[in-house]
Amino acid sequence: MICNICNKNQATIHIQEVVNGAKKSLHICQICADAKGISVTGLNGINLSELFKTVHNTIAAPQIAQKTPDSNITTQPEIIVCSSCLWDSEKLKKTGRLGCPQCYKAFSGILGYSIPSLHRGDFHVGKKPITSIQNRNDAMVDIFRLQTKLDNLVQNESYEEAAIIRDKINTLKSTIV
Amino acid sequence: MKSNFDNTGILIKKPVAWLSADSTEPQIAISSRIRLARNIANLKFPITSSDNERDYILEIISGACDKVHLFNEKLSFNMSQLSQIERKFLLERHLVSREFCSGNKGSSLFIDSDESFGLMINEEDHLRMQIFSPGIKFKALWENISQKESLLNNEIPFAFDSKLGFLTSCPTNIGTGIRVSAMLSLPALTLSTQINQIIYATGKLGMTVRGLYGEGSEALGYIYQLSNQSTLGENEEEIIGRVGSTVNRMIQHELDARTLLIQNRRDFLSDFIGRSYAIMRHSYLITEKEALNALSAIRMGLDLNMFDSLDMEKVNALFVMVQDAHLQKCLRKELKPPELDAKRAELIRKFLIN
Repeated sequence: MICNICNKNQATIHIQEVVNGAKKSLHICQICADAKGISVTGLNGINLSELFKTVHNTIAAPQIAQKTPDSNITTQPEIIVCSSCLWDSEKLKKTGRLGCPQCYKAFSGILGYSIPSLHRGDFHVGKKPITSIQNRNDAMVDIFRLQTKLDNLVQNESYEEAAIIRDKINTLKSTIV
Repeated sequence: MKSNFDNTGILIKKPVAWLSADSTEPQIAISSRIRLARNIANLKFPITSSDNERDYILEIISGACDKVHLFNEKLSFNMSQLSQIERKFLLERHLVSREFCSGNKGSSLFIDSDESFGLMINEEDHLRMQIFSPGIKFKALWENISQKESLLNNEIPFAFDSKLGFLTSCPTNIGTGIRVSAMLSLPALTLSTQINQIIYATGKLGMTVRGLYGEGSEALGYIYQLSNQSTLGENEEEIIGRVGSTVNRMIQHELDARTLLIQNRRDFLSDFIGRSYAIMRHSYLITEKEALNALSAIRMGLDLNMFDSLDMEKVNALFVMVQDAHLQKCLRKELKPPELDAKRAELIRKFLIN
């Protein structure tokens, strides 16, 4: 697969984002990844949505399909990254674990093969959850995101901003108790 | 709620919930357990969460448990604050998994004080709900745990996909997230070397056979844990039915193996059980493995009415007490072999004389 940014090199980093059920893919080579400061283990701080937007706006889909790999470029194993939790296919292979519920969509290509062999079917037929508490989940997700932000702020010693975030967290928590 | 550190002290005075003597039947099926894996919707799994994120997950689950009165009398254990011996003590009581013993931040165990029900929070998944019973009582356990799961689900939205079911950190648990397991004592199948064949055959039936302490452990004391391998594509009742019928078959195989041993190798069997008793009665240094194996042989001897002066309850109590962490908790000091093995032998001798 060719890099979506330079359209020349073999892509070795593959990012998938799923928004409202729609899947977006982004394939990047190591050189462009380095240029944009993207590393598989250090995607923290990169605005993925923005990245998707800028890259996708400049690429016409048929153009990607027509490109053929350059034989001079050394191919590296393809790495897929979950845009939600930044877990990647290498870690999945190493641990056999996924990083978050969204990983099931990001790694569907890999899991599509293994799930039927692990189970006696590929469709859930058992108990289903109660789904009337979506609002509460939204608040939990917001708190979780703010918690991550708070961790980073504390790490960078930005205590004033951290205090504001902590207040926000406490306010949100009071809504779900 | 009781504080963290006294709680292992509370447990040590009690027999374990999963090992109780019912003298009317041979003690082959020791206990049954059902575990459900659940995660909070749209949040990262523990493997990718930071310490603070795991603390928040603990806070959500703990709050929900209290709100819906999930426990009759809740005991809580903060794994990262427990000593290694205390964690192993909980493992020996089958209240936690080996993985949980690594004591990550935010990993907590909540149990009912009778040890029949528990939650592991921030294990591989946000939530591992477990229910235990002596003997094989899968149907009752399922009804009970399903009710508790619904109670929690009123407060906590679970990660769910209409096709893949409940989403878990490991794809081997998706769908129902259910693991139905039975702890079986199979000394005759082990002695007559049929056990590997049986394990192979149960694998073909979609079952997994593990050792005494679950995943990655060896079959100490001729005890095996049988459980379903797949969790997706069948509903909970079907899985329970399949495990139940495999357990019944295993029990029958063990009974047949005992009958064959009595018919064809009676002296060998009596000698094996008698020697095991002699080791327990007269050892001055004994390892955990040797003690558990000997006690398992004695349990079989009790099923075959070989001992007048012993009862199953006493042997079961000893079965729990001879384990490394229980022994050290009981003696209130940290010991290493050979001192630990000497203390174990001393405890067993005293126990069998009285």
